[in-house]
Amino acid sequence: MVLSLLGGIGALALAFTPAVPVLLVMAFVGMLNGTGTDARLHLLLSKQSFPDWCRTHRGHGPRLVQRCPRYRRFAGALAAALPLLLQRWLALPLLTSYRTVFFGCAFLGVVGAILYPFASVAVEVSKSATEATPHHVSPASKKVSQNWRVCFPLMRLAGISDGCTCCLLVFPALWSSGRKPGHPLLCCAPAECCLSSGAAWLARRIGLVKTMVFTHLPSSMFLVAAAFAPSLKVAIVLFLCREALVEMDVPTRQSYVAAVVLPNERTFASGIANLARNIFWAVGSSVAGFLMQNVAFSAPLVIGGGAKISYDLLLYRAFRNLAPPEEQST
Amino acid sequence: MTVPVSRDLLIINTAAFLRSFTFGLTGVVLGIYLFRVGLSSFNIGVVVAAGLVGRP
Repeated sequence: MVLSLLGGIGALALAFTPAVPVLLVMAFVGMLNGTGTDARLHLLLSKQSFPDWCRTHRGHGPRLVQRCPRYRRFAGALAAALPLLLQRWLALPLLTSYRTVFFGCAFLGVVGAILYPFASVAVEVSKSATEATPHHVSPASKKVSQNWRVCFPLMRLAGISDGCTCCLLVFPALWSSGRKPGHPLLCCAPAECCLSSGAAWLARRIGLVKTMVFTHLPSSMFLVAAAFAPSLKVAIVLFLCREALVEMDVPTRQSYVAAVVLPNERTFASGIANLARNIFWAVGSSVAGFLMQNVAFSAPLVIGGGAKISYDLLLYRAFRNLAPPEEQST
Repeated sequence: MTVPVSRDLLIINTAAFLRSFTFGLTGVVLGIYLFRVGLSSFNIGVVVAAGLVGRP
């Protein structure tokens, strides 16, 4: 409920567009991340609120809950055409139509918050259950976390080139330079949505670690190649290829972490993996802006893409011998 | 007391749909909009960084 209201504050921040310092505070509070992704807390809430449901529907239910955010995001990404449609239909100035849409988003945030109190008290995690959670972390989980920490410095560099950076910095800059790339950003979510759904199919055939690494590796190569593309059209095609593959490692990484650590330590291990990703994503976004302004337009893509390739190779080296139980039996 | 799981699922997922829908929308237009209102690449990057740090 609080997260929905905070999301509304983020949309209001865009609608009013205050001075940069205030915008920063509102972006922080409203989680205006530009990656198009919701707080991962919701997935956790779903699993914690419906433990029996998740248990009895193992394989289908939880997978459905995991995939739902992609399709919801897909719908939101398509709705990004609304400002342009409003401009055309209502003859509004473009910035006014953007602001109208942001007010609408804030309204949806409030509606979402109002819905939560109608859920039964059973969805709340009981106090006894949280108290019963042991604070002890097993050696196996510690090993997974340590291996992930080895990859952290590269993740920091890789954050420079993440999709949000391309979406938020490169394409608007091209737009302002008069070279209109159309609306390639609208295609990112559908492309990502289609292929990330195939991650489970691929993981069953080649394993979780290989799926994680060998889908992410080509996506990084596409990113570096986009920096050297001879034309904007080629760059957009390469970027879309990259976006189609880039999220395939997310469900596999979550499944892998869940499979190799004890059930009561999954939150800890997933938290370590996601925390690293979020923090370095944040650092990377601001560094990318600096590099584009002061070094070269394509510098974030080359530096970040190169770091991502190294990260994938390091990840493969660290985890290739740590197979989840279901892969050990085959 | 019987827990109406399907009703709870519907409520939680509808609320989540509204949240993800708005996040998906702002995710696409955020950079373009901030660029259009005159923010520099560096400032856009810093705003995004602030939002990412705030995301639980």
